[in-house]
Amino acid sequence: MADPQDQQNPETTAGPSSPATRQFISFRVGDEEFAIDIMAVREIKGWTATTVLPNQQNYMLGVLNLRGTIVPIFDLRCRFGRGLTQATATHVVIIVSVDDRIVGLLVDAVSDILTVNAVDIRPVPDMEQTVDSAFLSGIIPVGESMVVLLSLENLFNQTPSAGLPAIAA
Amino acid sequence: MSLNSLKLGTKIGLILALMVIPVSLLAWLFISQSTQDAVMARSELSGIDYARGVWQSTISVTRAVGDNRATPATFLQDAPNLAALSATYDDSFKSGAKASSFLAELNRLNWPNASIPADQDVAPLISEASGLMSAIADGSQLTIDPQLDTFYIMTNMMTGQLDLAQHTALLRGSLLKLSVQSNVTPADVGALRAQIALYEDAESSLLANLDAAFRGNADGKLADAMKSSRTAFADAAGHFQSAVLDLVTKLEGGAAPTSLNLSDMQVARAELGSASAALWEDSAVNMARMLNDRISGINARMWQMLAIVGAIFLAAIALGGVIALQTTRGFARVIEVMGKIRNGDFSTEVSGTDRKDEVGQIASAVAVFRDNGLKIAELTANFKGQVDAIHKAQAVIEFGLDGRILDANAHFLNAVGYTLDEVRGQHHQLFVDPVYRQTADYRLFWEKLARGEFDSGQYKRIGKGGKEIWLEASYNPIMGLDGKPYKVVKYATDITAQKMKFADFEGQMAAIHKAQAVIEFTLDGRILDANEHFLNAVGYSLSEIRGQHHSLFVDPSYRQSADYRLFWEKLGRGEFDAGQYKRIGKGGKELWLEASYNPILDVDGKPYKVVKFATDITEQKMKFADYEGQMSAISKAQAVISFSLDGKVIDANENFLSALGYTLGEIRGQHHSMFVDAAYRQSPDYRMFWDKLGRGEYDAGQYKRIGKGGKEIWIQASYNPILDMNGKPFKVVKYATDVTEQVRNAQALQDAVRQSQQVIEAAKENDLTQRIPLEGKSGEIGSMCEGINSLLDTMSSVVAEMMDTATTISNAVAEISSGTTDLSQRTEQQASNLEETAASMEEMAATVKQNADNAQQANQLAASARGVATEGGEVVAKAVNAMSRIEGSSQKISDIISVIDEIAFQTNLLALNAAVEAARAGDAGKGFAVVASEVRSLAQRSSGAAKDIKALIVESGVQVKDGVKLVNDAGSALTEIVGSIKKVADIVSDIASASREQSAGVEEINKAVSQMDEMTQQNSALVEENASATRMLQEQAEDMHRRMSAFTVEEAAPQAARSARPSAPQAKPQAAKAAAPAHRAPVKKVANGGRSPAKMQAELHAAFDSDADWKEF
Repeated sequence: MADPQDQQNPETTAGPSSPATRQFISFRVGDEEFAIDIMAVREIKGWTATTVLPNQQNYMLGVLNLRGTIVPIFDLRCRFGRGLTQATATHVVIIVSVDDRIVGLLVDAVSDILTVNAVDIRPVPDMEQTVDSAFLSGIIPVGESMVVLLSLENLFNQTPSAGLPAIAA
Repeated sequence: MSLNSLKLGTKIGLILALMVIPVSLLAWLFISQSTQDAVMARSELSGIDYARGVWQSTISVTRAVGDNRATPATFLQDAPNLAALSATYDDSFKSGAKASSFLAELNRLNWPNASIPADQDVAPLISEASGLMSAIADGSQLTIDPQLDTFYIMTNMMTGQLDLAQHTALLRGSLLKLSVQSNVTPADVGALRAQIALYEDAESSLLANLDAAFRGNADGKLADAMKSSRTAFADAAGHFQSAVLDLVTKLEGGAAPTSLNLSDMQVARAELGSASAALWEDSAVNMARMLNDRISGINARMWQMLAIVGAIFLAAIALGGVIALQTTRGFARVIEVMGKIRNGDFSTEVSGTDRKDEVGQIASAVAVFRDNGLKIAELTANFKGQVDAIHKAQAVIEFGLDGRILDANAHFLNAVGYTLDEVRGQHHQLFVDPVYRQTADYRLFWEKLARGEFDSGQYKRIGKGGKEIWLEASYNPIMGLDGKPYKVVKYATDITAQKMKFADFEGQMAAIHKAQAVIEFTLDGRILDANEHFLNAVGYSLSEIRGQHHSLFVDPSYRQSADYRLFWEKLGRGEFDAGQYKRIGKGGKELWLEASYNPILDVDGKPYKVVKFATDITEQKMKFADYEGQMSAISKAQAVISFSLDGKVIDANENFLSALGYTLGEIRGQHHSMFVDAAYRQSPDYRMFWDKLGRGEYDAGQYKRIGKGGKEIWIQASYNPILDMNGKPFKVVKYATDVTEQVRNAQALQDAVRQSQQVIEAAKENDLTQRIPLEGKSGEIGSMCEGINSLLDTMSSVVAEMMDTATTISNAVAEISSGTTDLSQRTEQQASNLEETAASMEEMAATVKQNADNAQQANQLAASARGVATEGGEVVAKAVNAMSRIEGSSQKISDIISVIDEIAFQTNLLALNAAVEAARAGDAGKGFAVVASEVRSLAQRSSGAAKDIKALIVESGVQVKDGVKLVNDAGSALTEIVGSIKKVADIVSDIASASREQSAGVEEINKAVSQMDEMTQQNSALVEENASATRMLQEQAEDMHRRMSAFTVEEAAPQAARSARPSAPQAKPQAAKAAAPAHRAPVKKVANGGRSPAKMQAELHAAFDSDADWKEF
């Protein structure tokens, strides 16, 4: 429903899209803005302490009991190889559903809800290491800056090997 | 005869002999038992012999019955002589009755030579035979045969075969009877059958007995020997039985008895008869063989046993013999050794001690016994030698316990003077004096000896003729082996001579001890004992010195000396030393002892102690030393000459000789008169003088005597007649002092005194010019005169000097007067100055007081400033407090804002979730998405506002912090101000108190100045008095000058210095008189206080300048 102009102003853009538009939740990890499809989001909640499981990857922060569902929480910053997030009450966990798995992503803050016309999503430029760009499904320009659209499927289905360098590395 | 009197060999023999009896007895028992068995076997053999006769006769009859042609004799090789057998055995077998009935039966048949009819019933014969056989068996003890085989065979022989023969005969008889009957009844056949059964029983029992015998046979020979006869017999018996059965069967089959052919049966019966006979004979032969074997076996065992027993017995006898031999030999050797020991030969070796048996033990004991014997023998020899020696050396007498004399040796008899016969049997009291004899002591003495107690000592005994004897004796009760005394032996030595000598010595020693100091030492000088005299002399008690060394008594230097060591070595060698010794008593008291050190020799002539006899001669020694000292002193100081009573010179000392100028040779033997002048020599006085001395009277005085060359000498002398021990004078000693000089001096002194008197008289008249002439005056007199002269000289010069001095005093007094005037002036000046000073001080006091007041005010002001500053501090503290409260509030606001921020955050999240839900709801959520978006923007705005407020609050917090810091700075500045003000206040109060003190000080200075004023006034008065005193002084000086002028002083050359003096004293009085008024005027001026204050002032200034004694001033 929202025209391309409206997508610059999400506050005024409401309602689900026409088949040509998609909505994304954008969030910040460090200084970068990322976005995921809103339809994958199940819930957004403030950071609460997790139950740490033994012998896990370092970006696996543990699990949360979300109304009876045990949800693993991942530190996206760490997943992107930028070190562990020192989580506070102002950090946000985005509960997403990926291929029927429910996982939580720890991000610094949720920025906005973007309504984007599909044609405005730019493909990821070719890079030398195709594996790295597998996480990325596109780039959305918003005003001067750009929001990186993440592919949650690739992010969580791909088993990260020890030898695999982090995405942003 | 007792067993003890038998020797050991005999004893052993006896035992062996006695042993033979039981052994023989046992052997006999054994033999008789064995013999009995043999006899029984032989008796059995006899029984068999008898039984054979019986059997043969019987069986011959039965055999003959069946054979009509034959007589029993045909069946007998030799007809047994039954009568002989009966005669031989019936007595022993007690079978006579049976035998006679049997024989009668035989005789009835005309046995053996009559043929027996075929129908002859033989059963009675057989039963008779059977009875006889039983009797034989019993009589020959066959029935009690101990062996199984022989027993069973015997049974067959004695009863079984006869039984069978009986039954055979009965069967044959029955058949013969039937054969002649026309018919047979079943009863007959039944009877026949019963007979057959009996026959079978007999047969089978016979065979069973045979088999039992075979089985019971020990050597197994029996079965072999009798097999054939048994088989034959069994066949024959079977044939007979079958023949009989055949006949019976025929009869039962209904055959006519007459038709029966009995020949088979007859043949079988004959066959059986011969088989039975053969069996019996075989049995008898074997039985005999076995019995003979048994007999020989018994004999063989018996002899074997006897041989063994005999051998053992012989061995036992041989062993007994050997043991007896060994034991007796061992004992014999021991006995031999004992015999030697008994004879005193202890050198024998004891053999057999190595044996382990009793003999060995005895031998060991004998060896010990021999050793002990040897020791005892040695001891005995030793004792015997000693006793002999004692008997040789000492008087020995033996008494019974009741005191009766048993024996005495020659020594004793010699000592008491009796012969042995005289004293033997007498009581000991013969030797004691009658008084002692009666005493209880004497009785106790013997009772004591009788108890076995020993007594020794020195005893006084009476010899023959009442001779008194002293014995050194011991009474020794001699003990028997039971430990009880049985006699008393007394060993005695005649010590009468020694006793006498000892008594003598003892008396002498006691006398010495009474008279002299005695001390005893060991050879090394340790003190053993000392008597009372010695202790008194040295002042020690005995306990103090006992065990001490003699060196205690000598002075330390001597103690260390070689002399002292040699002294004791000499005593140690037994050499004697005597002399006068200096010794040190208790407390260092010095004493002299006239003493002898006597080493006391023991019996061997070796010294063992030293006894010192001493007399305390300290006093004499002292006195002597005193006299000697005095005499030598006199001799040194005085001239001594001794004369005989008639006046001849005996001796003179050096002093005397030098005084008179003679030598001793010149005057010795000369008369005293050579020393007196001729006039006196002739005078009766001189004679009287010597007479007086001759009477022993003493004379003393100053005497004029003439020396060599007529020199006149004065002596101060005493003539002392010396008295001998009888109080008679024997010589005269003159002690003289040469006083010639003194006499001359006395004359010179008289002259000098006279001249001195003259000079002093002149001096009394103020004439100091006279002098004593000094010519011819020497010594003290000269110096005295010279002294008087110089005294006069001194007085002259003193007078001159005094006049001079008086002039000087007058001048000085004049100067003092003018000084006093000056003093007066200066004192006045000082007084006026003091007044000015006092005024200045008043002003100063006022100023100082003002000062003090100001200081006080300043102090108060400082105090109030301090109060204000303190209040300021408190205000600052409150401000700080308020600031901190503001800080607290800011914090709270900050917290609230955080909560708001949190709410905004949560709201944002909720709005996001709402947006997500709306997106997922598709078109249905479109409106909701708008609301969510609005909510999100609200939340973001409120979050922003909260952030702004937070920033403001943080800023205000920083500012509040700055304010707090500033206020704190102000507070600390105020505190410093308070401190400074406090210090100022303190300083001001110090100033105030200092000003007060200053004020008081100035006050005191004021007082001091006014006191100074007063004192200055007093000084003025003193100056006045001073002036008047000066005046008086001037007058007295003049007076003195006048008096001095009265002396006349010699104007000789030595007094030239004083030449001006006589004029000066004369001039002075006028000058003094002229000066006096001049002096008086200034004094008056001083008193009036005219010009003197000015001078005083000047001097005061000088004093101030010198700064010396301001305070004193």
